[in-house]
Amino acid sequence: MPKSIAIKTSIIRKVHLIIFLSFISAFMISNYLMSRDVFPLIANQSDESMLKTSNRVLEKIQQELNIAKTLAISLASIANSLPHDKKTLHNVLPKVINAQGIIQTVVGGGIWPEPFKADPKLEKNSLFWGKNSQGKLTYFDDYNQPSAPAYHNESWYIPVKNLKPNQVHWSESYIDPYTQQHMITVSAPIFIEDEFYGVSTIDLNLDNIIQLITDSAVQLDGLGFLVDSTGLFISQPKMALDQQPLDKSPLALNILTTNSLNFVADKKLSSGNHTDNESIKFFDVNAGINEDDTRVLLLNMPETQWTVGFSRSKSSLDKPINHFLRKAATYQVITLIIFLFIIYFCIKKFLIKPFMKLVFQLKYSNKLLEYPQMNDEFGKFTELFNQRYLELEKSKRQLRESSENLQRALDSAHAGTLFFDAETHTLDWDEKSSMIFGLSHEELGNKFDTLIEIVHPDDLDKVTVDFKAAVDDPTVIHYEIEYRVILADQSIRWVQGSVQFIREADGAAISCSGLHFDLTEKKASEASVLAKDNAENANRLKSEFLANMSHELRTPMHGILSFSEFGIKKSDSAEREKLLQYFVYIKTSGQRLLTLLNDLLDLSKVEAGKLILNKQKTDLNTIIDTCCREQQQHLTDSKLSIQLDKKQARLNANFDATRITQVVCNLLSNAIKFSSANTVISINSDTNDLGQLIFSIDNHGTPIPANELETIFDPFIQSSKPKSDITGTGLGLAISREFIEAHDGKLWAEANKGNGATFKFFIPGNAEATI
Amino acid sequence: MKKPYILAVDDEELNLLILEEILGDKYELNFVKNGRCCLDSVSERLPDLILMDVNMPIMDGLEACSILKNQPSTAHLPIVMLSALANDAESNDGLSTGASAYITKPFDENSLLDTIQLYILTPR
Repeated sequence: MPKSIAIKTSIIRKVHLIIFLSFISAFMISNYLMSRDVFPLIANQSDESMLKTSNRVLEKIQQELNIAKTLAISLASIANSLPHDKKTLHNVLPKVINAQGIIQTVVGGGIWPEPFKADPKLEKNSLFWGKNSQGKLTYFDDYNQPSAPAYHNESWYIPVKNLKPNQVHWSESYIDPYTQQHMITVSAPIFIEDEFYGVSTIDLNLDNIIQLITDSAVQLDGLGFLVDSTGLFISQPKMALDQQPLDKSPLALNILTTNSLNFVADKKLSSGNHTDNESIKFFDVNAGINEDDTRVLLLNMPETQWTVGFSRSKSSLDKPINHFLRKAATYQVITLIIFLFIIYFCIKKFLIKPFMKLVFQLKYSNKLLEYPQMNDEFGKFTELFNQRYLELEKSKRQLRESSENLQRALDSAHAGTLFFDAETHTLDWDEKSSMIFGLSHEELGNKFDTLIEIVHPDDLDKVTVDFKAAVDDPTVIHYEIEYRVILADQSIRWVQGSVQFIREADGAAISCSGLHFDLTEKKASEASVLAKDNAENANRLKSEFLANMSHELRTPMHGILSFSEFGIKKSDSAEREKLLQYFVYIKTSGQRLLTLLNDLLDLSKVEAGKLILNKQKTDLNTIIDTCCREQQQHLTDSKLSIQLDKKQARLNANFDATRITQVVCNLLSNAIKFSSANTVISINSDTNDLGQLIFSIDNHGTPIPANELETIFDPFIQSSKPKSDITGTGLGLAISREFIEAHDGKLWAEANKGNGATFKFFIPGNAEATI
Repeated sequence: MKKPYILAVDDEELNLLILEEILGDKYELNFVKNGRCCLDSVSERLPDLILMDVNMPIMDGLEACSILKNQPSTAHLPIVMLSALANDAESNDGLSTGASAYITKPFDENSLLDTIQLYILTPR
């Protein structure tokens, strides 16, 4: 059963995590982008709205001022043109000042002649109308009272003297002592016949302007103020008023020194002579009016040298931004959540669910169900998986079948399997193997030593030393071994092991595996076959021997019978020599027959162990000479020569002269028989350090095959090679060997390098060499 | 009248002496010691009949016989095998090579003469 999926590695958990992280990062990125790009935009819009408001305020103020200015100039020009009778002036001037009551802000106006100009008797002779508490324009002549101070020295009067026509002078703002209204006076010079006649004035109520600034400031959510040319507040910031309750009189400059309003004054003063373009200025002030970062806009009015100002604390800027952000963030979060939910839903529906379905199926079955929507990737996966599963099943079945077939084959061969691990020196057998060893599977175990214990002592080396050598020999791939084991009942079982080695690249054995067979029956049948073969061979040899004997007996018998027959037939007619010859032939044949019979007798004696040696001190070289002489005729017939190499002149030793002569003659006779024409037969005789007589004879002719170098000494056997050339009983070498061995010596044959063979013997016999 | 020419092949000198004794008067005889010499002799002069021993060195009688029987120029020659090998199997071997007759040693003088006469036209 596969273990359940850890949370750490779960894909579903990862999907959750990824979606959560994407949500966080998308949110953070969008916030960052907004703060980078949107905030300055909002700040800029704030500046623009401030500027727009200021310009509107400025325009309004200018409008008011223009009205006042126009009225003042109108008054001056009326004074110039009208006849200077009091009645006309009293009739016309109030109408002009009142401007038919349309302009509420003009609260007063009049003409102020030079001393003694209008009336040489009167120093003060002003014509002034002001609005009373009901707003009705009323003539005031307080200024003309002797008690009243002369107006000619007023600050709104003196500078006007130097003005040109159509120029005006603006007074400082002030609180009218009578009406307590906030006012400003515009003065224009009156010229009559190019001579300065006096001054016309218009009083302008500033309440409208102050209200406008205040309203606008509220609109901007900031502070607004108007400062005149001397630095006095015409309209002062509301907040400052709240904090520092002052009377309604124009604020003294020193008030501004408190807080950073000082700054405003500074700016105003420093920008007093600036051009229009430069008269609009934004400033950022730290620790401003609200003890806060403040954005300040100052606009200068060149004509009156007033300054209109608006300030907004930066924190008040944050308000719309925060508002915007809050909204944006809400939408953002909602959008993101919807978006991610859709993604999550899709992943879950289209990936995770089908996948989990596959996992679930695999948990409880080997095959996957082929669901209807087989045309998607999971369908393809299912198809391929099932295909592979079927292939796997098929190969499993084939493997099982082939394994069963193999097992049946092993069973039918009565073979046991074995596996040997060269590293751990352990063996692994199957049941059949243990049966072969006559042990239970548990008894046999897997130790090599268990096997060693039951191996037949004679075969122990094979199983240990030889097998180890095979393991260590990198060239050995296949190894077969036959050995005996002793079973519990002390019976012997032949076992054949046949293994194949698996080796490393360097030849070191890793393991071997192979089979065990019970060879006992095979060995038994082999033994019986061998015995049968031997018996048949012996029988065949006997038949061959008899056939040979028949041939060998018949030849001399033929001679005896034929020549005796001739003698009988021709006893009367034949000459005496002829008859004698017949007898000689008969005798020769008889002797040959006798020799053959003697050979047979010798062999049977030797085989029966009844040979008696007549050892006497004899010279081997003499025997060699005798044999050579006897075979001289054959040598000549076969065109052969003999090379005698006698190391010593005489080789005396104790041996049976008759038997050794038989041996030497037989060897020489054989050498002649098997030599090619015109070759040399070499004979060597010597003694060695051990006092042994050494004899060797070698010829050149028909070679003896290597596998027959020993068998030619068997009775009745002759070398197969020159079958057609052989004459003889096939007993010669057998008898010779028996004779030599009876002398405790040894006779053997060696193949010559060229053709032919070398026969050697040695016999111990206290050899004495005489030079 | 010219005597028929018989080539006798045997490695045993004694056997040749016996044949000389029996046939010497009636036939012209030539003796050789083995199969090889027999082939040489036949190539020099075609005999009217060949008496062939079986066991001989260098080349035995069976081989020489089959060579002669396989040569068109000599295939017609009557060959009588004379051998000390007396088994039926051995005589069959001899006859199977194409020999006309197989006589085992020791043989009767008359039976040899009869056999020779059977295969050779002899002046009587």
